[in-house]
Amino acid sequence: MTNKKPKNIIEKIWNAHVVHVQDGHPDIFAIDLQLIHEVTSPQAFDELRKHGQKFYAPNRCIATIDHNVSTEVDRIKGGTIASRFQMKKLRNNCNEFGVKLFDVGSGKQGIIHVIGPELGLTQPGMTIVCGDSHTSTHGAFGAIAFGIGSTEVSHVMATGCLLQKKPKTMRVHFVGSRGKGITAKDLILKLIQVIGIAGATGFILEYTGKVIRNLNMEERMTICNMSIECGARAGLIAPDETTFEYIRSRPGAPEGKYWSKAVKHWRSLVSDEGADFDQEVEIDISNMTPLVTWGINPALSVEIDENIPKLTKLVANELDLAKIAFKYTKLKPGQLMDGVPIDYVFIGSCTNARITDLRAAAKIMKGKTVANGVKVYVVPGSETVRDQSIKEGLDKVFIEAGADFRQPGCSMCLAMNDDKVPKGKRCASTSNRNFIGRQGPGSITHLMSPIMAAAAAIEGKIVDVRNYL
Amino acid sequence: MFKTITSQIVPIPRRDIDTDMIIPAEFLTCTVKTGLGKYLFAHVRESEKDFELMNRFNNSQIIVARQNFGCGSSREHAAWTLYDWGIRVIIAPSFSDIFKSNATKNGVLPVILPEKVVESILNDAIYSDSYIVNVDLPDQRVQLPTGNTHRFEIDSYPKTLLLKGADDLDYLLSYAKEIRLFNEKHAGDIFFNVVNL
Repeated sequence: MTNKKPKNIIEKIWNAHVVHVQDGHPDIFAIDLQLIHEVTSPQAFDELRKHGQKFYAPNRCIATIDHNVSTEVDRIKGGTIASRFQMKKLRNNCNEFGVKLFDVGSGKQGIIHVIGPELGLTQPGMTIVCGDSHTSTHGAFGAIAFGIGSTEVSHVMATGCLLQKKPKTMRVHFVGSRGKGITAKDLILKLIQVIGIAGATGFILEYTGKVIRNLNMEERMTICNMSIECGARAGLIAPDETTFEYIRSRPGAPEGKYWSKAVKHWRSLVSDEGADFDQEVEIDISNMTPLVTWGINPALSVEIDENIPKLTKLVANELDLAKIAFKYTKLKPGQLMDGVPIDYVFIGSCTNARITDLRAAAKIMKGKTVANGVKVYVVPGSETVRDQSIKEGLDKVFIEAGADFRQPGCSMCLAMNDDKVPKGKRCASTSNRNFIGRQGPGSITHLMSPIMAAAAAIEGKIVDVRNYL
Repeated sequence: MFKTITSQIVPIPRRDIDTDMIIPAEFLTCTVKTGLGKYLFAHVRESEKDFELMNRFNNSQIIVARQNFGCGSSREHAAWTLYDWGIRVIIAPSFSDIFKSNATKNGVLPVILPEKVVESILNDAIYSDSYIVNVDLPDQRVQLPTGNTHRFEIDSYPKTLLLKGADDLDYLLSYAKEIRLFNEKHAGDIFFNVVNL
């Protein structure tokens, strides 16, 4: 009888990947696809050597360079000696262990969470890991995808497996319909605002609801990308026709009879009717307006027509953090975000640097001029996205407006290369974290959607993008 | 490897200490795990009041902080940095999943104590130059200068890992045969192809 119990998609995928169960130990858990970048892999390759191990399944792994590569025209010379050394190390490691590397200038390089789906490698039912917390992005395809540390990266390299404790499951059900100017970014920021940055710690999420079903794949990636920002290891969306349509005809996708076999398998993964979750949360998006963060973590946000909370509205535990946030972001309790002047705009990152993001931003900026004194970085998520943008003339829209259309990479999201927001300067950013110093020491970040960031670029201040729609 | 630690604590009365705070991204261009201690809390040690005792108690092996320690980026560099600085124990009401996993693999013990206990430690320690705590991993106990002891929970596997200083890669490798058999069966459910790219 227990076999007949309805299962949710997370349990189905999880159970299909458990290799071995032993009391007192985490499960041995199989990983289908490993993604590698230059920053969290060198120590893992060294572990492999230390243990005298080969790479277990190099044909289930790809690598790219994204975090520290320069976004200048000369992408190699643009970096520091240390970053060049780290990139060289990745090339040598991939060469030695037979891992396919999408290097700078290959035509396919980009942010790892942009290129995996782009290449058709990210598919439903898979387990995917990377030494990067935003690996949750790949959950958009109905895969269990999560970030791991470098030691675990070495475990997957050596055995194709990890030691994992089965996580709890949470259903996040969106109700209501999207109003004007409400993007996928606003939906996920809303969830994080409601449950807090540790609200889903220990859980894998399934996002459900009609509004989720109606999202395209790139929007779904934006949602799943920020699962980690409410503490979840992973977040996923059940596969459907939209998913299959996106994967079909991409280079890594199955062909011929394998295609129909794959689709049949993928369809079987959706949560059974009546399946239980350890927790359920409902997010009502009716009447919401575009969101902007005001504080120092992604949960500290307000809608554009709302006031930032007054200190009297906060409970003790939140009050301390709010005071620190106000001091750091130089904002006042009770004020509106609408009208806050900005110095920088960053349109990019694994959250919002795909072609539909750039199209949406370009539509707002077309024929307009960037406000005086504002520096705007548009950083495509991959070489493919960059090429496509140029084909569609988006590059010209950005450049004519006075923005800087740069080479692909993680860039100003984490300020690992030279793309930094200077101390005390304020940035309207489409990235995923507004932590203290995230975009450079002393930088102030306000997270928002690409269309909100584009409108901020034109006006030199945070504004309600709905006036542009 | 890891048994008991007796040390002055560093109180950091801050919640949600993220791994970008522990080690900012600009210091991640290294290719080794060692020598990172000098970057611990690099951007906040001077500028944020909550971290000021970090400078004074720089020989301490125990940090006490508020909820959700280690959130954000998965960088294991955070655990390496804390270890290299000399930190062996973090006491907090809760931790992020990835940080907790990284810490136990690198000789840093995450101790979860109830919020009320953590608050009283923070409160007492901030006004004391000798707030010495004993953390006993085999017995899963924290002894405070008041004489009070608090038991903490930890899964048996990470506990063993810390006590032995063992590497769980060896454990995984000992199941090589099961892994191979699993993959033979599982191959039919994998449809992506890296070779074609």
